[in-house]
Amino acid sequence: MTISVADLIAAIPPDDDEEVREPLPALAHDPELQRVFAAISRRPVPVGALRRLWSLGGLQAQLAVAYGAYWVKGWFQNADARQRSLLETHVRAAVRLLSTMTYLRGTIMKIGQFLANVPDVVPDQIAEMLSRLYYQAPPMHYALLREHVHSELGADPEELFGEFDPTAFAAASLGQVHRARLKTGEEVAVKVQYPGIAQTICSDFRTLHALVLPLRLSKNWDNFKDQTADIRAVLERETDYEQEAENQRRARSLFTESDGIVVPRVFDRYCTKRVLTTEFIEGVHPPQWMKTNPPQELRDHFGALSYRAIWRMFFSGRSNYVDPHPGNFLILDDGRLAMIDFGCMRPYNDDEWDFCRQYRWTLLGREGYPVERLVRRGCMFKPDEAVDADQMRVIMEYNLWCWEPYLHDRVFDFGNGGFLRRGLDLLSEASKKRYTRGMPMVPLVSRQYFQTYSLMYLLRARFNVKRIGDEEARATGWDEMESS
Amino acid sequence: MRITAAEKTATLQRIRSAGRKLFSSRGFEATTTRDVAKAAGIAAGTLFNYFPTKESLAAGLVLDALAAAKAEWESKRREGEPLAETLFAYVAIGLRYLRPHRKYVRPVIDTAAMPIADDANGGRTSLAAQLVAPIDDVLSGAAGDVPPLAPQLFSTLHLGLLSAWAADTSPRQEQTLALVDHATRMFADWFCSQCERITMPADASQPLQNGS
Repeated sequence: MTISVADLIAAIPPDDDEEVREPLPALAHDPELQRVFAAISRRPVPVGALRRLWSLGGLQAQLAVAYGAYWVKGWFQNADARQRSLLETHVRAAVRLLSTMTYLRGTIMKIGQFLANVPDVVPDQIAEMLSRLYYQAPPMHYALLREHVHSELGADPEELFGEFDPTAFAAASLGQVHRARLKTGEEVAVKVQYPGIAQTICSDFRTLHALVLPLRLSKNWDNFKDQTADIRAVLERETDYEQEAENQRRARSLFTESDGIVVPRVFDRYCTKRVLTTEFIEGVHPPQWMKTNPPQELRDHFGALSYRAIWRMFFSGRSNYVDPHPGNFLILDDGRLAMIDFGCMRPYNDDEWDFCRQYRWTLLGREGYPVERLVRRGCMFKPDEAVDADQMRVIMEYNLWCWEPYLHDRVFDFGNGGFLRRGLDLLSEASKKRYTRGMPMVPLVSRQYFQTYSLMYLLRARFNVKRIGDEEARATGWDEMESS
Repeated sequence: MRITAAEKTATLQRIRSAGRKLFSSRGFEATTTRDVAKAAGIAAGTLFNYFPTKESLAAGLVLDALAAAKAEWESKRREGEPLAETLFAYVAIGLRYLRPHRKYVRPVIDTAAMPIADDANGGRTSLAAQLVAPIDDVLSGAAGDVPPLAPQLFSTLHLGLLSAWAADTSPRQEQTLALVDHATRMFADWFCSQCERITMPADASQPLQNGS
């Protein structure tokens, strides 16, 4: 039997031996959840690598012990009791997981955000809890926020702005967001970064290296280092709100009124490396919107808009929008879509850009670009280096999966969870077999594919992917450019 | 020759101004009392009528900044503010006012328990005692019987935070902000657990009396 992370999470036993007989409480009012939030709000972001490692280790140990306990207990339970027990342990595990991840914030929280989008990797109950990570992390208290803003912008928020709401309306992995009104009248969203979060990310990477130290012996160690360095560079850029402001200005210039895609304006006077002030947009995040049971036509509309926005930034912006999770999108009443976070952007260098063009041409069957050549280049194999046939198969299948929605000129149904599961299985197979060698950009590009398709799955959207992709490519003259 | 109070005050201001400039530009160690006296336009011996040591001059500057910070902190306290937030604001606003003196805070901390001249009325006090005085009232407002150890513990914690801040190399000392947050929450939790009147940490959010 293969043991997955989901099995382990699900296997955390109840705190006592009593069986669950009461119906599950509404999660929002769950006293345990409230208690966890109260506890978290008194804890700072742990900035030391050792403390973070300890937190992670604690969770892993819980999971490991829990697995054994559940497995043994399962032999003695009838099916119904077992199902109830499982449901309860899912909720309890979700609370614990949320507690740990919210505490760690930063990089680890991003893993939580990713897991929340993926069907069947984590149970539904846990996915619902994880989805809170988008905009419900505990806020800094106002005195801390005021001091941080004063330090960054030279005055207290109430002096800088015409109005400033001391209560955050959204909190995420790196910062929290407050509504405010400029003295000139514009409504704005002021994002303030948790102090010390940049160092937290550096700590996370030291931790990651410590945890995977045994891999150093493998032949792919150097490649692994390159890939993690690439991820680290993107996350470090994400801690720089001046960089994010620049990304947002660039993204805003890529869209026109007729696209139906809104990128909020940046107010430079109120921006620093730790504070970002942008136009406030009123809208609903996709998970909340889906609870209103919107018709298929609207789901398709917003799915297509999201897809176009992501690919516009690729083809026209020459950047990978690494983090297209639902918390970064807003659905507006007038049918437009807003994108509200541009921290996680990865620009392509010339070599990568050329590879991307060759990649697309190869997968679309353009003549003269053999698949093997593509795989060799993407996996950074030397021309005379022998490549294992199984490795070639897995990588090819995975790449075809990434492009599957794009390969045919017809409506693609993202509502089919089997598609996403297939991709995860391929990724899992590649990881287990250590077929991870590749260009440094590969992990982040993979993440973008999964996040994009997860968003489409969340929306249960159906639309012609190829038509949108081709339109975006044509608009930039991509197909006419020569590749090496 | 008899020196008037106005002349004494003017001399004091010149000494402080000269000390602030020299400590900041040359550094505390490289500045002598003779340098300060010369820059203030007084005889070397005259300076000692006002400040017995270089450290006490630096401490006086630091205490002035903290007094100004205290006034701002009091004006910014909000009704119903949790104890941890009140303590955070007290320390953080103090750091804000100490920023121009950051280069010579460390030697002042080293002599924190030592009595220093209070030039306004000739009395003597210590930095540690000055730091904790406003917090006495806050703690009394939050609990009827303040644990005897609490003021001393907070004073020690505060000095430690000042020390960390003086050595913090992060941009705008943002690591210290996180540390102050951690420390003040920890202290508030401990304080509440020690107080009979407040048994749960969540009670730290009980309204506090404004003004101290």
